[in-house]
Amino acid sequence: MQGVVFNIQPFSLHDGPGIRTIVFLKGCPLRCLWCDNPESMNPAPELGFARVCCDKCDKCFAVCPEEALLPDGEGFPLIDRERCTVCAECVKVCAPEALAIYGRKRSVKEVFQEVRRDASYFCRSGGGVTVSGGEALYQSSFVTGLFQLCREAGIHTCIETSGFVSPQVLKEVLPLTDLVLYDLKHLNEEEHRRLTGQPNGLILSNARVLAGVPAQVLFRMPLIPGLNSTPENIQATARFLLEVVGDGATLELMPYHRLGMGKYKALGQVYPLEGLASPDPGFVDTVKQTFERAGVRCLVSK
Amino acid sequence: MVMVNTGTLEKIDRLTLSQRAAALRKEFFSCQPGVAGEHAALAMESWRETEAEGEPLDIRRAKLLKKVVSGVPTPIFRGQKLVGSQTKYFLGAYPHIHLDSTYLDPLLGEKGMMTMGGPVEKGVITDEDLATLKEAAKFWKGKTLGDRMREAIAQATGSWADDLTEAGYPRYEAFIPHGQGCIWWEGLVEKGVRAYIKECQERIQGWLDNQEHDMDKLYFWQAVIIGCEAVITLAHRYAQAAREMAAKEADPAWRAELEEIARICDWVPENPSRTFREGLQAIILLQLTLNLYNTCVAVPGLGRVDSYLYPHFRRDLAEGRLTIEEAGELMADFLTYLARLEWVVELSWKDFIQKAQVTNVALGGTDQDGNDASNELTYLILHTEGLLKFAEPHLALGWHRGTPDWLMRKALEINRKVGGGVPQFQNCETAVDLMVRRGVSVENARNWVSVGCSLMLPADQCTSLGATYFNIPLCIDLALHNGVASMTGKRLGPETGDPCTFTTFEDFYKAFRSQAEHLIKKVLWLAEICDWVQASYHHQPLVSAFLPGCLEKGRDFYSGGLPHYRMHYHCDRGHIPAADSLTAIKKLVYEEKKLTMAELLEAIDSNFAAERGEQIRQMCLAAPKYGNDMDEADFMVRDVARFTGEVILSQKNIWGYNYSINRNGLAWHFFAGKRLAALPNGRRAGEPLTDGSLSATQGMDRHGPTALLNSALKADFKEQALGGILTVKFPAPLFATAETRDKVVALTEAFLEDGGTYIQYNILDAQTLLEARKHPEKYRDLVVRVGGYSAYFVNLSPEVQDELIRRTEHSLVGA
Repeated sequence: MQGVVFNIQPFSLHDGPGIRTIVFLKGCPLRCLWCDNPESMNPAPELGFARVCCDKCDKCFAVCPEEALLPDGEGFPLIDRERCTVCAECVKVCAPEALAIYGRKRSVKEVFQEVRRDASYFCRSGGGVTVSGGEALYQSSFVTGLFQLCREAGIHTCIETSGFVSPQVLKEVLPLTDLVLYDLKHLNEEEHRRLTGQPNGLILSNARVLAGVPAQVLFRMPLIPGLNSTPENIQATARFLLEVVGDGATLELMPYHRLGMGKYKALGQVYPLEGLASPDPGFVDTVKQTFERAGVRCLVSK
Repeated sequence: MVMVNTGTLEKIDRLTLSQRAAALRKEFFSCQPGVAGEHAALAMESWRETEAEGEPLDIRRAKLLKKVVSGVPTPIFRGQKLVGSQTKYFLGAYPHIHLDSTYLDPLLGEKGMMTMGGPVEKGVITDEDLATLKEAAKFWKGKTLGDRMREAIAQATGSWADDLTEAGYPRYEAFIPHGQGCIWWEGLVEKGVRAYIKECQERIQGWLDNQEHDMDKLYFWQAVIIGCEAVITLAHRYAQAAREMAAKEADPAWRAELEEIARICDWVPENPSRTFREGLQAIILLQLTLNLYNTCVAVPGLGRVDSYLYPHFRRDLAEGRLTIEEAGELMADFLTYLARLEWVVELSWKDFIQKAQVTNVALGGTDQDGNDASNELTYLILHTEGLLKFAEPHLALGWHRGTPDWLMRKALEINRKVGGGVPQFQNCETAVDLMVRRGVSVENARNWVSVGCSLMLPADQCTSLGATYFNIPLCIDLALHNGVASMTGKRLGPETGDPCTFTTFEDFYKAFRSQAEHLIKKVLWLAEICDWVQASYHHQPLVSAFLPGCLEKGRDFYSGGLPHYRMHYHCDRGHIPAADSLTAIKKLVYEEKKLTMAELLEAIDSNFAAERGEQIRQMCLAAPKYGNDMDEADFMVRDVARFTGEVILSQKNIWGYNYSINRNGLAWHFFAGKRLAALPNGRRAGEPLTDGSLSATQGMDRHGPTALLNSALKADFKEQALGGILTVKFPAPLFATAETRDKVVALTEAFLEDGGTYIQYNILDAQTLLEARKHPEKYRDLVVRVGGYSAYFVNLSPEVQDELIRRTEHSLVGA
């Protein structure tokens, strides 16, 4: 069993309890405007280029067998993505690591062996493994395989998901999952489609299913100023949570940040939210208060 | 085991610095240190007097100390509750020319050129004091321990020791007298100095009654008596000074304080300490007396302050003699005294140790039965240090499985407040195991003291003789050049062959091992010669009096007075760059055959400047590196360390015990790297080596802290060595909340439970460091960690600052 993994990040403290290792899988059916992992969207491996690291040594141009790299006006390589076969020859000669491949095929066993190295820190801190993406469940059989091994080793399992998956997939993965981090991006179907490229019907119906399973669920909401932060959407989200979860409904707010911007450039893409500022703490707190007044316990992620 | 009063802990959490403690702290950060000459004048005068009388050496040295303490200034600074000052300056030091006549030579050139404990700080000095120091340098020429050691080393090895210094070794005999340790402060606090005088008088009487003939014993006891009298003299002089100041003082509150100081100094350390405050004052006055004789690391650490002063602390609180607020103020005074201990450093050491006495205060741990020893006083010391934010003293928390959560949480909170490194975490379980395997009783091992930057010693050998640092990466250079140090062209090791003729990696590895074995054995020989010179020529009776075994035997600890010398340690350092170099050679030359040895050598000998130099350097950098949880690189570190460790452990010290190993830190990596050629790990000539002994090479650990810790565990230092300094750098936000700090607690405990010996944190953001470099005046209190000890960032040399900034940026990228 193999999956396309674009990063394994040990010692992560903010995606689930304790000290965690996050496995980032490639491929996502959504196209959220604020996505901070653009390299995760495409399910296939891709070549990326970080301009700030490049020392213009020219070596990459010569080694590319497809002639997919050509100097731009300033001498930086320009990637012809039609021609590029992601053979990685250019990456091998790039000393400052400006060129990099996003995504590599790796077996469940290999990934498990890597995450298991931190088992002792998981155990001490109440942490474990989190599978993220992209959409973690886009490669659901990889997740099932990995979580089976984790379960056998007593390692806590967590997925971060948009919920845009078939109910059948959820049914297979949930029995092996200890914690689900589940995003509610917008309650209005049209707005959801505009912001993420997909409707929200499947996401909302899956959320109702989730409320009845043994896995722990934490609903989360990316807070994107002006896009999903309207009072109407906040009220609608609160109502939905109270309806689905009832008493004790909890939501974690994830305030928008701009750290993913550089990656768009590296992939030759345009950042969709150019010019949007991250919300100031006062605004985040107002939203939090609104949720709390509506009866939903509200956390804010770091 | 004590039941900790959580109400007291909460009270401590609310403590802030009192106004006068804050004023003294401000003085600390604003005043310029001074170099004073009174000590030198008094020492010369005494030596002339006793020479004329032809007295034995032990007596002459004891009289020298007594003369010094009878004449040095005894200033009391407004607001102090605990008194004691090395010099007339608030921050100041005396150069100890009577121990080494030559070490001031490079510093005496012009006024103001005195280097105070580091390359950037110059001490103020008066014309009169400078003239005295110049006279003293002439007077002591040929008469000191340092002179004796140099002469002995030259007789034994010719120019080899000088050639070694040239290739990046600190002068071994420059750091004298040798040894790091702690004394039995408990005895001082419980019995008082007068009891030691009585004991010596009784032993002398017994010697007479039995008609013994060993005159060395008699002189030793007599010297102890003179030394103890010196301590009392100094205390009474402070009492007198306080009374004189009180007589002239208009402010009734300060006058009453001065009168109280006089009463206390009249009583301790001569007599048993009756209160917590008397205990602290007694410790300061004995420590100060020893400082007036000794320099730097030979001055004893404070040991387990939270254990031996706890009975006084608890009793005073229970009986209403002391409030938590008063205890906090006294602790602030005590820590400020320790922070003020300056020294004048030998020039060749200036990059090696920066402005640090490395005075150690050990906290927590277990008692001799294995029960947790931490208590409210542990908490108070940590809290007060969090308010003061001094780089010194060095707070070391002894961790074991029973260390309570409230203490770990507090320790991480204080790390955040101070900027990391305070306290550092030392594993007492692995240390006790190791000591027991080396023949120490389990009770003495559990009653360890922590010394210097990272050393732990058992109660019955709470001090060690001299330690030297073996430059293991130098052996890579020697193996690549058939025994010649390539930077100096001088032969230091045996001829192990032209590496271009080697056909397998094992051939090269064998050459490296031969160089390492030769170097270690020869440097140990030098160290033994120095130990012998010290045993026969230079004693420390007053220190010995407070060490186990010495009074009974009538022998100084340098002359075999301790019950045993099992934990006499030396330091093999630089395993990470050495092992990473071996891994690169193995991969590039012998396995993947991407390079020939000749190509690699050409690149290295040109410092990677030859035609393919940079390309080859990139190949070297890309080879597997320690710190990323990659077995290949990590096991190479383990194997190299096991080999050098075995060589050290197989050799015996002058008392017939096999050596021990402590892989401690300081800024050795700068000193040793400065004169070392380029290495196959991609490091350029002259660049610093890897800091600590288990930290990763700058910028080479790229998989986060857990990968680094896993690498350190695989290197498996605990089997052979104490220490094993590992610095983990974290961006500041990680320590910002109690929730994330709890995760760092979990990380720390998992690492130590799995056998890590030592861990410390640096909490930094690059922006802060860049600001601090631009505006040093605003950041005088910014503490950072460099290889096992705390330093003020603004006092570090620009190259050390650069490295710290580089590393910080790296850690932020990874966060």
